Amino acid sequence: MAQRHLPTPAGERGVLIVEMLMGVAVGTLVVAAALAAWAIQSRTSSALVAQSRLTHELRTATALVANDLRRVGYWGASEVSVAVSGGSPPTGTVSAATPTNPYSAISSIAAPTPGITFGYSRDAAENHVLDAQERFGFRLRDGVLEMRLGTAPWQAMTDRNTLAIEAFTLTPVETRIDLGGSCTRACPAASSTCPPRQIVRSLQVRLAARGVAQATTVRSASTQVRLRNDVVIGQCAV
Amino acid sequence: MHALAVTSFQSASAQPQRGSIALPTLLVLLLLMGWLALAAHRSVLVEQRSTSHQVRAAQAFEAAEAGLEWAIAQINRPQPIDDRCSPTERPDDLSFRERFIPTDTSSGALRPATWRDGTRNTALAPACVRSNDGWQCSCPSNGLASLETPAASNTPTPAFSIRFTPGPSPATVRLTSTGCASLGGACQPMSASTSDASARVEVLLGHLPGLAITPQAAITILGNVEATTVGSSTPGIHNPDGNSGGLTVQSGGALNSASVRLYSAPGAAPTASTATQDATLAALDATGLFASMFGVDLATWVSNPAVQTIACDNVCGADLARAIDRSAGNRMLHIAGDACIDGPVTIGSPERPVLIVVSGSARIDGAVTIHGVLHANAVHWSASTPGDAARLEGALVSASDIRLDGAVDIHRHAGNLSLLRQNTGSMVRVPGSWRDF
Repeated sequence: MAQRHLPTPAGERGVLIVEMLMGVAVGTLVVAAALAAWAIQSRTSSALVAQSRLTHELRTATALVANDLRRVGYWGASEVSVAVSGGSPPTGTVSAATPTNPYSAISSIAAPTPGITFGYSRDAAENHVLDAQERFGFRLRDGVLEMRLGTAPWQAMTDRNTLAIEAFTLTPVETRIDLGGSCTRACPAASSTCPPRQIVRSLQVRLAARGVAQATTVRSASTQVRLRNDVVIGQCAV
Repeated sequence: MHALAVTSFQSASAQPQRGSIALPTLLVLLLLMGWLALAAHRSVLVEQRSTSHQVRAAQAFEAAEAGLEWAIAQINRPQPIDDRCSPTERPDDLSFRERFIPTDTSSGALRPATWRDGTRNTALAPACVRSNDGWQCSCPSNGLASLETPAASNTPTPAFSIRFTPGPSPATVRLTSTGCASLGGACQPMSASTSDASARVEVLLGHLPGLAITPQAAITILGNVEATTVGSSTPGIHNPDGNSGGLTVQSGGALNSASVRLYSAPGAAPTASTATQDATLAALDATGLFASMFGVDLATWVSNPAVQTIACDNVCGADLARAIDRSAGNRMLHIAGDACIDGPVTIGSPERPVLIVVSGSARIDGAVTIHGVLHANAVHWSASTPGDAARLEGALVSASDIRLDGAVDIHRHAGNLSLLRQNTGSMVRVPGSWRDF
């Protein structure tokens, strides 16, 4: 009783053991709760990062495919197809009478490595020939999107440690414009080459991928690419 | 009151404090949460940045593509323009095509216009920028494009700059469009402002003339030509150009006149200058004649963006003059149905001849002067009043018959015909010429 009334020296205060135990217990509880919250938060955040990386990779891959597909059929000497050009006659394999674009063809690759091959001119001096270094393509092989760059072997465009591409589809969309109005003579009946036609081509590109770190994350990206270089087929009756 | 409050405060601070362990714990906790929030935010920031890069790249690319389409549309618009690329009502102004890709009259080649930048020639480059009020454009006739940077806004303000370079052959021109996410950088040469993204695309444009071939004779016709003397005036048909063979009349039918005046190339016999009952022409129908002359059928020709269709309900002089004022050098006029042109009137000029296609028949009366080519199903041209003199400087083409009464003179004018071949028509994309590398 008497001790309790002893005056405490100024600046000195003790902590009761009960008080300390309570403090530590409460502190531990709070820290534990915070750690649990942090664990959840970090799991969510890493999942989000993985998802956005997946989306990002897919978007980049789609943009890459779209950018390269747009160039299909670029021809360094396309002016030889202009009747009024009055330029020098074409050389090589292009016939002066019916000049056709040697670079305009696209062909699809069948499963199990679905994809597409195409070409565009990279000649410094146009030779009117689709050379080996002017052949390009995209294909899906073992969950990796691969690109063909001329003579080099196919190169991986996506990282198999980040994502596995599950689907790569290319659906062609074609519009044909009749150019018969520019012919002076009527076409013979049942002609397959007359009148000339302009083919406006588009490709619907779709990529779907699954995350590697999180197998439940599936994302897909699609885009429609208008191939900028149209094809003209056929000619007027002579 | 005041003294009381102070006393109670002092007494509270004197109480022993409890729970001092909770403070550092909470501080640690706060720090942890803050760090977490920052970490989460950082990935959001990175994501946002990469997305905005992608957005700007897409904006620049689409602006470049828009530039191509804009330039082609401007080239094919026949109206004269001012420095803001807007159409003007002043017929002496130049059109977009005349301003930026004029044709060299001697060679017929398209020569992109340049300006003298100090010591070197630089291509004239029209440019546009998107602002809140739509696209603002600048079509300089000498110097750099002058554009105001749009006021800051939430909507994107992409820009593009257009450049023309000579094509690989005379009737082609290369069109390069540079697009930017904002006005500056490659879209505004010699400016300090920069742009975050830019894209460059180019195509080759080919010239599709409004008149596919140069008519060889002053009058080309599937049927007959009737020429009648009225009073002392006799119709005349002239072709002094030896290069064209000096043909005055080329017809599938006959030339029914004893008194028509024929003038051929120097030294050639006038009577030998007609090719009547021509088997090639006789074999053609009206559609075939039109297609061989203009390169396309009537419907396609009329759909050419430079063609102005006039519905003039038979009295066409004033409407024709208005339409001609609306077009600079690229003068292609289509009169749907029959046309009646009463003189005195002058249509076209030696510098800017016209191409008139009448889908019905044409009746011309009085002192009418036409510089250019007139095509109609049937033509009845009379200048019977004494003192009237009617003249056509170019060529006359008809699918059926032509009747000339009185003082009507049809001259084949090689200069006008070559100007028409060079300046009319449209510029079109050459398939296979687009590239962005």
